[in-house]
Amino acid sequence: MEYAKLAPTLAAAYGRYLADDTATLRRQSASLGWVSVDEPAKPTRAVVSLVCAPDANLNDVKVQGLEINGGGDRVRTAIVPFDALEALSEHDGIERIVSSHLLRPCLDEARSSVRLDSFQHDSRLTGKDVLIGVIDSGVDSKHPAFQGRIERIWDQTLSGSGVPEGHYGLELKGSKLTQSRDTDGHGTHVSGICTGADAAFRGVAPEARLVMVKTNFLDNGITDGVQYIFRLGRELGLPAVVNLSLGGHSDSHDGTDALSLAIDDETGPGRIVCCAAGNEGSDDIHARVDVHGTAVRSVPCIPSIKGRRRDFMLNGWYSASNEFEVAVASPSGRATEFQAIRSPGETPAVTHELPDGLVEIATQPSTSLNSDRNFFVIVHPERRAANSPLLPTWQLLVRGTSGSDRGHADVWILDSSGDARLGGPLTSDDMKIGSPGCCSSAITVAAYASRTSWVDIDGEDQEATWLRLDDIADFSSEGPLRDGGKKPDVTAPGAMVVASLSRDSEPDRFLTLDTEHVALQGTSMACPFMAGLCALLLQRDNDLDPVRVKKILKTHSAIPRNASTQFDRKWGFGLIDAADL
Amino acid sequence: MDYKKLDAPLTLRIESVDDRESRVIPVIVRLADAPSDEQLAVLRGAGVSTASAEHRTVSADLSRQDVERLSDEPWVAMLSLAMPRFPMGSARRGGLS
Repeated sequence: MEYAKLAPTLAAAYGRYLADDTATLRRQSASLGWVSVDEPAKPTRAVVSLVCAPDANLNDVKVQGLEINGGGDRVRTAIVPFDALEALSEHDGIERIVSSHLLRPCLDEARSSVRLDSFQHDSRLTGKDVLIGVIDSGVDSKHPAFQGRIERIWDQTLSGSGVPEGHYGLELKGSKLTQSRDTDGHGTHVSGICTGADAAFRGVAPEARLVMVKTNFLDNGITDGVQYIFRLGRELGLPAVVNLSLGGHSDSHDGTDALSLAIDDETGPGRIVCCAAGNEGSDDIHARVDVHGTAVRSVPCIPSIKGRRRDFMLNGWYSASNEFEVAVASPSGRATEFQAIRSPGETPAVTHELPDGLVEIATQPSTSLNSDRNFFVIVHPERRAANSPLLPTWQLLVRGTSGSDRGHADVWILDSSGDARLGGPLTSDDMKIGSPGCCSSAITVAAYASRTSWVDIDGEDQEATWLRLDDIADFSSEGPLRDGGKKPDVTAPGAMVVASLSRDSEPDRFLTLDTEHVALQGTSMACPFMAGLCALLLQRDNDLDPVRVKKILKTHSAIPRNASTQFDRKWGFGLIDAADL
Repeated sequence: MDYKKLDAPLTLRIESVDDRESRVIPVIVRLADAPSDEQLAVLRGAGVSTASAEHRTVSADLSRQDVERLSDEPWVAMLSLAMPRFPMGSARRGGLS
């Protein structure tokens, strides 16, 4: 027996079979696909997927009770008597044997909710000869879902001479791919959704080629990564889709930040970028502050709803026709001086010391990229201030410089954990799509709940009670953009989505379905679904550009149970219907 | 220094750097157009080693002195501090935990 070819769950089950542990096999039978456990007249069998060598010939495998289905080439499904596992594992044409189980319904829900199977059955599109670039936490290159299809990994976190777009990190290919690992698991899951090719979970474009940029998650690394992927696509002569399941709120929320503009430069015929809308749909991270002359408006700022001391930042934008002043009041009631726009040549950055902490404020004159004004505040609370039993609430104070100075400022709160929140009546449930989701040429994707229950690795039924089945996910961030731009563009399945599990990661056990698959939610999951669809469209027409792709997608999207075809700040133009793409 | 070309996070960051010559500030440089050979030489001299004629957006770790020098160039449109972005899946933010 070549145990290395058996997926761990199958190897463990085989051990139980040899030990005659029918009680455990019986308990697992529903979720792990064991058949005839209690029937003495029939051999105990396993429903499995066989990962085969290219063009493998399995006709010479003659074992009673073995049924190999003819549907696939690289991956073939089969029903295998446990007694035949040894012969199969020793067959040269078989690289891996994986048990099949309740993943298939999980996947079916995501695919069927947008009629993807119907589209792919009719069109035969698989993403072949399209490059999908994922900029994320890395990929488990040993995962069977990606075997033979990972073109390169640029690991920006390893030491090395990098690539032409960035002289840092290490570019890997071939047998060296395994030097890069995905300990977070996010990137592997995202990659599985757009291009995974295993029998249990079929990604949207299972024959696309994959390039992973394991990123440092800084704007510069992401920018370099986008340029790297599209150059690789040009060199390989392949159209390319870049998936960005990431975002933040330190930008102007109108698509004029450097990362968004860099993406606009890079996209074009045969070059598409998909972005996650964001997961702050239920979070008070945005406020619109209406300013009426010199009257002071205040916005409560809660550094961490979990009560931890943590630095936080406030990012405010307003029209250049106003000249607002800003100050910050600490939990003890002390406040900085109001800081106006600084004179030309004078640094816009000033540090203010308060008993509760240090406050840095920058009041910019209008910026050269969008002509608006920006203030940015960093608050470093003193550690002792966290001892209060009450949440330490700071206040952002904004006022005009004269009685006629009237307008509004849009403010976002951010920190490294995502826990910081704004409070009070000025908070606003819109404009929560930051860069790169706000990029004009990108396809920005909201998340839909196509699945709310699953069976975990222990055979326990799990339910996502926080989701409404067949509806938009509450966590999906709302548009529009600060300048009124219509984002998100479209909606795709983003909860709960079952896809590839990195074996170097440690997800919560209740989210883990087996050693190769995990269920996750987020616009991070909706985004690669759309990236996979874009790969299919590019396979059909290599020269599609972002404008034409968006037109196709929007034409085939609608908000369920809603006759309107108008833009909606939560859904965009609605849930994609892939059937007639 | 032309502060109009610096975004607000970058103005705060350069104020916190004592050594004017240490290239420790991650910056994205937005150019008005694709750079000429002469402009490429200036960019490379200022520490933007990956600058190329194909891209209007380039990134590098710069010093305060580099930022000052580039902000005064008429063909440099904007200098931004590279800020962190976050994965949008449940393992990290807005999710189950």
